Amino acid sequence: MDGRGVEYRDTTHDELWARWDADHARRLSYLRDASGELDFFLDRDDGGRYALWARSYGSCVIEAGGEAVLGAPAAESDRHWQAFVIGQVLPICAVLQGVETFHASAVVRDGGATAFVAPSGVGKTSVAVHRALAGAEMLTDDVLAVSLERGAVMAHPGAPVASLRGGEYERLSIQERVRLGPERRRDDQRASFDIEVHAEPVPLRAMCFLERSTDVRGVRCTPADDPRLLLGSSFVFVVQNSARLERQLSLCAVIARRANLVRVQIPPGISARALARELEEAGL
Amino acid sequence: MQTETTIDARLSGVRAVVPAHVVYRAFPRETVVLNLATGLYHGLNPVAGDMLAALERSPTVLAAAKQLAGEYAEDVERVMSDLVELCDGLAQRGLIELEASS
Repeated sequence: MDGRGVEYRDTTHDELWARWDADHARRLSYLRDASGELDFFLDRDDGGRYALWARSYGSCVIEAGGEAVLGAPAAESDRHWQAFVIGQVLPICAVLQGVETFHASAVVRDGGATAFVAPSGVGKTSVAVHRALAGAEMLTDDVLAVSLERGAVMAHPGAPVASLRGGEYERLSIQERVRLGPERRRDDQRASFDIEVHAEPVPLRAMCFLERSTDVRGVRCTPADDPRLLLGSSFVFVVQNSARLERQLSLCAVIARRANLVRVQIPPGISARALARELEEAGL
Repeated sequence: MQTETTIDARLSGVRAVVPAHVVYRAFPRETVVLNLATGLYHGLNPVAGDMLAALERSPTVLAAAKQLAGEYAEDVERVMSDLVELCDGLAQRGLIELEASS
């Protein structure tokens, strides 16, 4: 991405953790399962390196600056390892390299990007996929990298893979699934598939903040002028140094001035296909 | 006829300094102020945001008040009173430092 890259190297679990000094690190985040067992943790050491461990996935150490990653996939995680690296590790690398990331999908139309911002489960990938089927180009499905390049807010391509909840994928016709790209894996929960993405960064034109609501009868679009929507949509919260926080604030202020920010309230019963059509008709 | 003696003189000769660990950026309807030392964000309405910017570039609080009074076509006395109140609030939150103007 514009000269930025990440050098990745595989290693063993033992070698990876032998290089990590837990005595000079602190835990930033963790998850436990229903039985209280640790499921995931993320630590940072005094030198600015990050270590991630996820049960059934494996472990990674991200070097300070985010340009190199050491990975140790768990034996049973072949199918999930790539998704873990793309979805969890690379966004941290991007932020460490000076690029902001938002929890958003995005499509390209007429040379500019429209992002769909929402927490998991609201439908941001589904909307983007339906926009792609309707003629837009996919840019990213879950994490949007944005940077300021010579005064312009640029949205960067994500990995050429996408993932839909099982039900959403089932609702696509066979022809639509073929048009999207080869299926990678499918289970009861999700289906992931290869997808072509627009190859180059493009100006960010609009951001649609999607929210399910019982307060509206139809899809309602209003200006999204609360800075908290932008600042709270970051994908990476664990990098909290002063330089990053100031850069994030500056970039969000520029986005707020240059891009069309829209709050989209979605009533129950509106399908992703119908929502995508309404947003396209609204010029978003 | 307005004279300087009717103006809230508490901070007249004081300079408001935005410390290095405080950054702020204007958004369309709000100025967001970030204290990098605490990680806390604060929001100012657009007028307060203009006031903060004026305070930062003016040698004294009174000078900022006079500039803003001209911009907003308001009495200097009233603007100064509002500025003093704003400065008190910002100083309490560690977002500005008040020092004697040289």
